[in-house]
Order: sequence, then structure tokens, then C-alpha cells
Amino acid sequence: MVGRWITIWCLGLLNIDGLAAVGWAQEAAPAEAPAAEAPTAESPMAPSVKTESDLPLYEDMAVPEAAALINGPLRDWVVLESHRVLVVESLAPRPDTLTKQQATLEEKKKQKPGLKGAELDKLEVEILNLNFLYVTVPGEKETPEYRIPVKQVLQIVHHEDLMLRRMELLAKEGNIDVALEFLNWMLENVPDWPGLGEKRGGLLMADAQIRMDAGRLEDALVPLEELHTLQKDFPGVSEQIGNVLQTLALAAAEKEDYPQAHHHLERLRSLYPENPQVATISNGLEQRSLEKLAQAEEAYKAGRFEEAPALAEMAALMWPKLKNLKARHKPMVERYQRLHVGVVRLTGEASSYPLAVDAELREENLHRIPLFSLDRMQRGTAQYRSRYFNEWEPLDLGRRMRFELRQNRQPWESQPLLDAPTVVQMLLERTQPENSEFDERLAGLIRSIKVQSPTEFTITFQRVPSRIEAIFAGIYPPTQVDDTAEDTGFKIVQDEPEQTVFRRGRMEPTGLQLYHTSEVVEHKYPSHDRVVQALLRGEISMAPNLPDWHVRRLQADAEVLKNFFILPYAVPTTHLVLFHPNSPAGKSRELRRALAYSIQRDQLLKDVILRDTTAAHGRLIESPFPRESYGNSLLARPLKYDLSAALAMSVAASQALAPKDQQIPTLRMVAPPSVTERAAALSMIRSWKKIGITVELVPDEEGPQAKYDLIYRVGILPEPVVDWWPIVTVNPRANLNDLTSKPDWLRQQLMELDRTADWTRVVTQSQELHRRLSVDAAYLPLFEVDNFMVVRKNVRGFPPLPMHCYDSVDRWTLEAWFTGQ
Amino acid sequence: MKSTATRWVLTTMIAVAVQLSPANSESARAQEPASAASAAAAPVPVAPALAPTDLQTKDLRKPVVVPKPVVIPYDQQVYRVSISLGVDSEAGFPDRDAQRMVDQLRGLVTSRIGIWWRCDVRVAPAGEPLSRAMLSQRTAESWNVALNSHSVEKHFSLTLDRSGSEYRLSGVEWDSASQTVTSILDRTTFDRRLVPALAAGLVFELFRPLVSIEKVVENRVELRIRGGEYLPPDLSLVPYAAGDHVTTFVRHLGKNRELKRMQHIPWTTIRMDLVERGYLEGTIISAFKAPLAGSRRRMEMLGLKIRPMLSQTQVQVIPRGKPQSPMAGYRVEVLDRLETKDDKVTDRVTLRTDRDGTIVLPADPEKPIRYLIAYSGLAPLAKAPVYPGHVARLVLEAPDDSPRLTVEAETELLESELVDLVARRAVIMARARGAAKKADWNSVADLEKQVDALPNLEQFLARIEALKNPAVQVAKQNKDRAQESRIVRMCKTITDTAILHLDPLKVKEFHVEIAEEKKAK
Repeated sequence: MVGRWITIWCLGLLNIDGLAAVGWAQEAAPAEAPAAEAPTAESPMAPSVKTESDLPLYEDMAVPEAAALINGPLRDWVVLESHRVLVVESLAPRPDTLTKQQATLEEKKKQKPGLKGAELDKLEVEILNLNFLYVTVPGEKETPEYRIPVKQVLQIVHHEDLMLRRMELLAKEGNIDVALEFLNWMLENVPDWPGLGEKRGGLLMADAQIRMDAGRLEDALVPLEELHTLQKDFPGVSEQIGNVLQTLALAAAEKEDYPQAHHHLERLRSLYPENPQVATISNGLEQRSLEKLAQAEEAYKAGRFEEAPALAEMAALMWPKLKNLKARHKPMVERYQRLHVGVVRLTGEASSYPLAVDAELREENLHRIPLFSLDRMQRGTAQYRSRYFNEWEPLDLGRRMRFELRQNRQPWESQPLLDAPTVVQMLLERTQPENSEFDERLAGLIRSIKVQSPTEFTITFQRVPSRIEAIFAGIYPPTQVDDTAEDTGFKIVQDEPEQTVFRRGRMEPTGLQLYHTSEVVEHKYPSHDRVVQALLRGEISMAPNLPDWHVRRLQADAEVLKNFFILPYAVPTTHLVLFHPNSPAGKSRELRRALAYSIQRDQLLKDVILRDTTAAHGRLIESPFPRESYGNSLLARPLKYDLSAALAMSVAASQALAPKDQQIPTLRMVAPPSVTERAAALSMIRSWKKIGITVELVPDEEGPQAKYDLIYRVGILPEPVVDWWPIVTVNPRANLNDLTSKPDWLRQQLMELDRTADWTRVVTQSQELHRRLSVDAAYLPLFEVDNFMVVRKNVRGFPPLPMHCYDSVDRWTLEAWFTGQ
Repeated sequence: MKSTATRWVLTTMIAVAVQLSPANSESARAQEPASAASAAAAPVPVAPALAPTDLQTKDLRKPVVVPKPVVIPYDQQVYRVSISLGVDSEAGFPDRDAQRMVDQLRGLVTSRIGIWWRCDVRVAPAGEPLSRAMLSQRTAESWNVALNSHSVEKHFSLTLDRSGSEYRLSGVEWDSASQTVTSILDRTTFDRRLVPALAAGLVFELFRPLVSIEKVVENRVELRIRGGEYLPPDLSLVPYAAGDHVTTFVRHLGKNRELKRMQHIPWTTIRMDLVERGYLEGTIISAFKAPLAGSRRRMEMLGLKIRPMLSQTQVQVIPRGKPQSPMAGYRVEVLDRLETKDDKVTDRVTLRTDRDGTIVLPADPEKPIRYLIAYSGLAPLAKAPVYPGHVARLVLEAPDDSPRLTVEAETELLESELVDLVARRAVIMARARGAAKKADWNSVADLEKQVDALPNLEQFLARIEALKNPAVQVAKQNKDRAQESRIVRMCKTITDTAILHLDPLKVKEFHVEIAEEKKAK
């Protein structure tokens, strides 16, 4: 726009020079008083100059419409002494054209003394010209340029002045959006235009008033604060801000949204420290806080420990500046520790995903602890730990294994205390085909079990198992051994749409010096943005699985790092697509290949999953297992994006699967109920569409029983010796019947892997399976992603590299902390 | 069936008549010389020794003629049977009652079986089972050790105990000739007065009559029933009827006719087609071509009647020589008659072996014999007839299929690569043709390079050879010609496919076509 002005200015100069000649040429003709055809309000841009009397009167001129002003060429109004108006092309210099021209004239006149000859002549011509206003009348084709004696010009109304007038009219009409468009245009192009500042203030005030009238007080603060920043003394702005903040603070306090109330109160205090409402609201909040704290202390003293911390937390939330709050708050919240976690989905919400993931997985991790848990990955091999066994010792070259159960547990431990008959009964149940917990693999492994003592038993195996821990890792003891025994784990005690509360089944006894997490409160937020906001505001202490772009932003924030631990999980999460054995994709290798070749995995990872061009926290994979896993073969066939090959494979698949001249039937895909993964799934679906394969995402409303052809699997697969099976069959349990439709060699190889005891052969078999299944395109490997959990630094006792977000949560301790401490 | 039944009635009537004078029961067949094997197995009556006084009175110069031992035909040899009844102390039968029960049992058995059995019935002596639990602890080996020294052919061990408020009679039969023992058979009653009758019934239900295989012609056999000429007074105890099945075993004997070795003929039964008193004719049903050869010197070929006492039989399929790796997930088809060229038997039950390589076959009196065919893919690995309910568990050995499976896996993967390769090549060629039409020769050159860079036929054939040779070698080492031919066939199929689709001529033609296109433009 500046360039446009410069151009107009230069053209103006040229015109003046040109017109000078014209002026002289026309001197003989009485052309000083240009006759112009009266421009109509509707079409001011195309007048026909005739006589002055034809021109419209200034009083009759209407301000051009908004569209003409914004989109049309610049037009100024030259108001003559006769109050007639001539619409001309934009004049220069501007604004105050006449004043500036008069100043130039005076300057020239001062230069006159002392000049002689040609120089004097030239100056005189210039002085003469400055007595005229040279204008171009739009629409005149033959002689559009005219000059008007300056003395005959009463005033010039510039295009910008007209815009200001229109802006005012629009504000009066309540059409603030268009008015703001005018304002923005002018701020950008002519920020110093006379009167713009006043008009801007008025407009912002009008905008705020409209918002206030609509009850949008928060929104009204935006123009008001902007105006306050620009012009503190703008009439009425301070009072309005004060009123709005006061109303907002009171409303937030009424709604028990205390952080919001504090926020408004603080803004009000910073603007008007002496405002009586500041003290009134503050006192009210303080009083409420005191009452809550007193209630909390009463409950605490009465031994209702689970009741006290919620009240104490509320008191701290109401008025963190309360005197002695820290000292009074600490014993209550540290006696019964509540971990507040921010999530976007709670357990039990509708999902078509058939596997435990996200909220369901978190619930399972809180609820039960398996016989063996994954402890760490050591050079690609999973290492396990057990909360139940003191030791497990192989005997007779591994044909038997003696298990010794723990006889006691720490007060903080939430797992059940098992005895040998219970464990043996549990194992035996899994070996009986009629039992719902029947585990074919385990049944084929165990020959007999001998109970030696209440804490000791020995299993005799049919054959030596390669990794008994991996098999036992899928066995969860009952949380309540019998009706009389105490409860264990963390169980749901409150399930509401906005939050789920998990409480420790086995409470820690009184009189301990140090207590641990008693409750986990999962708060639901509409988005991850809100989770991060809640984390920073102190509403929650932990965000378990934030998208990578949020994590990176938090990692880059020194203030966040000062207050939070950002912990990577021990094992990256693997993303892959599996094919249901009974689906067309499960049956046709060509179709699987077509699906695989058409995915631009690196793009998907960078654009959708991580939103990071460097993909610092993610890698492409060729195997379902972690990158360093022993099950990965170097001979596996790498997957490459090749649209041509995908198309060719799609054609081959449709020839095999679909009737002649018909397309492959629409496939159905299930994806985890997570925004990121669903976005990735939709992106893949778009890619598949390009090669003529239609895939639809199964809606969550259909539930986990919904039929599907493809499953977007997200999770950790640390142990190839047991995890190959679910990859091939899409069934978490190793069931031989699931392999019926698979080729004989695959069935035998999986069985061989199950039977092999020699670790070297296990590794060879796993790698061989990887090689063969990669060629067979039995799965579609996507990428592995490093996930992180963000924990406030008042939380202690978690593993440095957690396996999942609630890894050993019963051992965590939460130091007393509240916002504003 | 009707004529057979009529024949049975006649035979039975004759038998009843003959029973009145067993010494005269020499039918035409009974007069046939008994085999050496039969004679050896039977108790050989010793010729009565001449008294010294008689010798003195006879002419000493006249050579003493020792009459040849009389060989009792097999179908006239009676069984020496012992029956013991163990009574559990918790059963509520004092010794006196137990003895009375034994006496009643003896009377019942003798009256029903007649002279066919020389029977000794007694209360179980020390060491013999007294309850079902004790009975179940005993194995065939333990019975052999305990009873081989006794001169009995059959021993029935019965126990009486309580199962809840019921009296439970359990029993097994031990057979001296086969050195085998039956499964435990249980019968229960609430009425203690019925126990002796129930015990007698149990004994006869457990009894497995022996047969001697006399003659084998192809798959037809002639047999004789031990003591078959002595028809029992109770007609329901007639040992065999048409349609009954017999398991076979061979007793290898030493010089003194002592048992050297016992050989049970697996997967072989004989179905009785004709029963005429002690003479039988039957058909061999076997997994083998010629499993039986008839009795020979120092070799007795005998059979035992199959009495299905179990509700089912488990059949485990294992690869030959690898019992630790049962064939899991294999397809096993169950047929109720043997498949022939003319009769393909479409009515088949398809089962899958479990992780232990086992399938379960329920016993069905209507279809006693079932034929199993274990498959690997489409190729049958093993075929065998099974009598479900006869034994609890059978192990079927099939050829080790792992070399063929390896080849199958690799050829499948090669085939998939081939499809991939051909499709890619077609797409690249199409793109090159398209680029040539637009005269985009840089792209054409690039695409031509891509075509040349794709794996060619030579490389594919080399991979197939590298796959085939070791697998064929393994099959040869295993002397498994069927497997060898399957491997060769699979490799040939993939080779033919590769030759068909990766013909180098197609690539050459493509280059020529492009060159001509270029020249034309």
C-alpha cells in the first residue's frame, strides 16, 4: 500500500507538471471554473464535468458504501466555495492538501527576492501554479485534468476521511466487524491519519459495549484492554474495565472457578489497587477458604483422611495466600495423597477399538499387577520383575521351576499377597479348556504343579520354556483372593463424565512416617491444549501421554523444566497396521502390499504424529518390535513408498478379490480413540483412496464388537517369542484355531517358536519369522514413537524410565503443593 | 445279515447239543491239525507214564512206544481263569459277607460260562487292589510281574468300594498271552444284593476272547477262537459275532516256547465277517499293506477281541523320530470307510490337531472303525484305521514334513516377490511408454534403467536352485521319496512361473520398442 501511495504521489507530480502546460494552454479559455456533471451518490466514480451548478451540494453528498470504500479506487471530495462538491481522483500531498500547498506557496514567495532572469520566471510560474488545485476528474475521457483556483476551494474531504465517517456509521449500526476491517486497513496504510486515534478508541469502546451487552464479558475485555494500552485516559475505558473485571471475578467465585476469580481479581488489583471491590472479593474468598480449611482439619482429626485432602485442596484453591495455609495444608494432603492426572478420555467411553488402549489400559495398570511385569529392555531383551515372587529358580536344566512367594509386603504395596494354593489354582484354571481363562500355550507347557508349602510350589514343564516370565506376564492374579480378604490395586470409586477417581484398595496403616499415593483422580479435558493449560495452572500434577508437539514445547520451556519432570517411557510405542485373518486384506497378499506401498510413512510421522520435520522423537520401523529387539532380522524386506507399485498391486488384488469390473469391497478399519492416531488413520485412508482402495474408519459408537478388516495397533511389543502370535492372529491369546487359515509353514514356525527352549534358536526363529512375514506383508509397520509423561516435581518415587504412566504408582509420594505456593 | 443270523442260530443249537458230549465234538474243522503255535500256547497234556510194574510185565525187547503228546486244538483249549474280588474296608462288607459274595460270584460265573473256563474265584489276597483308586494305580507291567508266575491265561481283578451312597464295582482283565490289561470298567448299584450278579456281568464284559490267526490270504484271514468249540450255557456269552473286531499281536517264542518278545501290530484290526462256532473268517483293516503273515514256528499270531470301554480315544500325531515336536494344527480327516478310487468318501469330518498334536475321536457303536488321514497342506501324510474307545491314547507317526514346509514357505514368498516384480515392471514399462509418447527421453532413459535394475530370471532361478537342493538332500537322507517329489514339484511350479513371467525377451522387446519410438520421433 505504501508503494501504491508512492506511485500515486509520483504520478501526481507528473500531472502537475503536465497540467502546468495544459493550464497555460487553456488560459485563453475560461476553464478555471470547471464544469462537472453532478456525481451521484451511487456512482461517484464516473462524473461528467459540465458546469459548477451541475455539481451536487455538499449537504446532499452521501458517504460511499463500505464495499466501494474498501475495494474501489481512492476518491476525494473537493468542496467549492459554493458548497458544490467535485469528486476527484486522490490528491497529493495528503492529508491537509490545501494547507501544505499554501505553505509551499509561502516558501516560494520567500525565495523570490534576489532572483533574476530565467530563474525568476520559473519561480513565478511555480507560484502561479500553486494558486491552483490540479485535479483529475474520473470518467472524463478527453480532458480529465482541471485546475481550480485554491481560493475557490472551501475544503477537501479525503477518501480516508470518508472511511472514518463510514466507520462511525457502521459502529452506530452495530456492524463492528466491517468497521474493524476499515480500522485495520487504515492502521496498516495510514496509521497517522488525523482523527484515526479518536475513531479507533470509539470503535473499540463500541465493540466492547456490544460484547458486554451480549453478556460476553471475557470477550469485552479484549477491546477494552487494547484501548487501555493505547490510551489510558480514553474517556470511560478504565471504569469499564473495572466493572467487567469485578463482574467476572464475582461470577468465577460463584462458579467456584477460583483460579479464574484470582486471575480477574489480580488484573483488577493491578489496574485499580484502591477499588473497594478488590478488598471485598478478596475477603470473601479468604473467608470461604478458611471455612473449607477448618472443615478439612475437622475431618482429618476425626480420622476421615480420604475426606480431608479434597477440602484442603479446595481451601488452597480458593485463597492460596491464606495465612499458615502451607503448614495446615501439608499434613492432610500428605496423609492421603491424591494424584491429579489430566487426560482427554476416561475409561468406559465409547470406543470401537477391541484392544485395551488409552484409558482402558491405564485402568488395567492401576487395577491389577501381573505375576511378572516388564522391568526394562536390556540390549533388546525384555527383563522382568515380580511383586509376588521372592525367587524363581529353574531346576533340572529348566524342566522344573521352583517358585517362592513373598510372605509379606510393604505397607505401600497394593498387590494381593498370594499363597501357593491360590497361584496354583489360578494356573490350573488356565490349563482347563472349559475355563474362560483357558490359556492354550500355558496348558501345553505345564505338566504338573506341586505345592511344597504355603509359599512354595514347583512347576514341571512338558518341555523347557524359553521365557516363562513372558508367559506369566499375561497372568493377572485376582485383586481380591476371597470375600474376606482385603481389596487390592486401585479401583474406581467415582465415575463421572468429567472425572474418574481410583482409590487404593488396601490402605496404608496409620502411624507411618511416609505415605504414598492413595487416590488417582483422572480429570477429563476437551483437548490436549487444555491438559497442558491445566498442568501449568496447577490443576493437575501429571499428563500421561501428551502429543509430541506439546512435549517438545514443554521441553523447550525453561520455566516448565524447573517445575516438571518430562520423563520418556522405557520402551517406545510401536504403531502398525494389522490385518484381520478373515478379511480380504488378511487373505490377499497383493492387497496388503498395495496398502503398504501407498503409505508415505515418513510424511505421516512428521506431519501427523509428531508435527516435527526433524522427527526427533520418532523413527520408521520395519518390525513390530523395538528397534534393538532380538527378533529383528537384517534380512527383512524394507517397506518403501511406491505409488506405482501400490497401484499395480491394487489392480492385482482387485482381480483376485472382486468380481470383474468391480472394485475391492470397502474395508473397515479400527483405530485407537486418540485424536492423533485417528488423524493418522484418516490420512492413510486418504492415501489408500488414491489407489482405488476404499477404507472406512469404524465409528466409536459401534463398540468393540464391531467387525473390522484392519486394526491400527498402538502399543508395546517387547517379547517376540510371545508377541509374534498376536501380530499374526490379531488375538491377544495364543490360540491354535486362529491359525487355521494361515499357511502350514507359518503355523509350524509359530509352534516351533513356542516349543523351542534354546535361546539361540529362539532368536533365529524370531528373526526368520520377521524375514518371512515382512516379505509376506503380514503386517504394515509404521513407526515407533518416544512418548513422554510430564510430572510435577512434587511427585517422587516413580521409576526413572517408567514402562507405563502408572508404573509402581503405589510407591509414588506426593509432597504437599498448591498453586501460588 | 439275515443269513448270518440264521447261521448263528444253527451254530448255537449245534453247540448246545455238542456241549452235552464235549469229547465227541469233533467237527470237520476241529480235526484240522492245530498249528504249532496253538499247541505250544495250550497246556500240553502229558502222556500217562507207564508204571514200573507194567514194564516188568511187558516184553523188555519190545521198544517202549511213548505216545506222541496229544495236541489239543486251539478251539478246544479252555481258559484257566482267576477272579479276585477286593472289598474296600469302607464299603461296609464284613469278611463273612465278602466270602459269601465270592461264593455267589463263583456260582454265577460257572453256571454261565460252563466248561469254557476253569475258573478260580476268591477274595483278593494281600497285595491285590481293594478299591478303584488302588486299581487305577496298577499298570500292565505291574500286573505282568504279579501274574506271569501264575498259570492262568486270564485274571480278573475286581474291587468293591463306595462312591457316595452307591456300591461301585470296578474291574480289569489281564491277559497272559498279550501281556495287556484292559481299561477299568465301573458298574454301580444301590442294592448290595445285586453285587454278585453285577460282578459276574462285569467279568464277562471285561473278557476279551483270544483268537489264533491260522491263515492269511491277502487281506482275508482265517482264525480260531480259543475254546470256541465249548459254547457257554449262557448264549449271550458267545465270544464273537460278525462285525466284531480283533486287535492282533505276535508272540515270538524261544526254543522252550518261552516268550521272547511281544509285538503288537499297530494300526491293524480284523473285522469278523463269518463266525462258525470256533472258526472265524475276517478282513484285515490296516494302515499297512501286509501286516499279518499267519502263525509260524516259534511265532504265534494271536488276536484279542476289541471291547470299546472308553467314550473316546485320543490320537496324537507326531513326526517320525521327533516325539517332542508333535504336529500341531494339522488337518486330520476322519472317514467312516476306506477311500478308494471309485468311492472318494465325501462325508468326512475335518479336525485339527491341538498343540499337543492330538485329536479326540468319540466312540460310536454304529461306526466302530474310523479311518484317519493326516494332511500337510493338500498332501496326505499318514493314513490309519482307528477303533475309537478301545484305548485311551494312540500315537500316529507321520513323516517329518519340515523340509517340505521350508520349501513351501520360501516358494510362497518367492511367488509373492515374483508377482510384485512383474507388477512393478509392468507399471514402469507403461510409464516409460507414456514418457516416450511425450518425447520425454530423460524420463524414458531413467525408467529403462529402473527396468534393467529389477531382478531378472537368472537371479530368480539361482534362488530356486539354492532352495531346492538342500531340501531334496534332506528328503533323500530321510528316504522319503514322496516328500522329495513334492519338493521337486513345488520348485518346478515356481520355476515355470518365473520363466513365464520373467522372460528376458520381454525386456528386450521393450527396449527395442522404445528405441523405435525414439527413432520415429
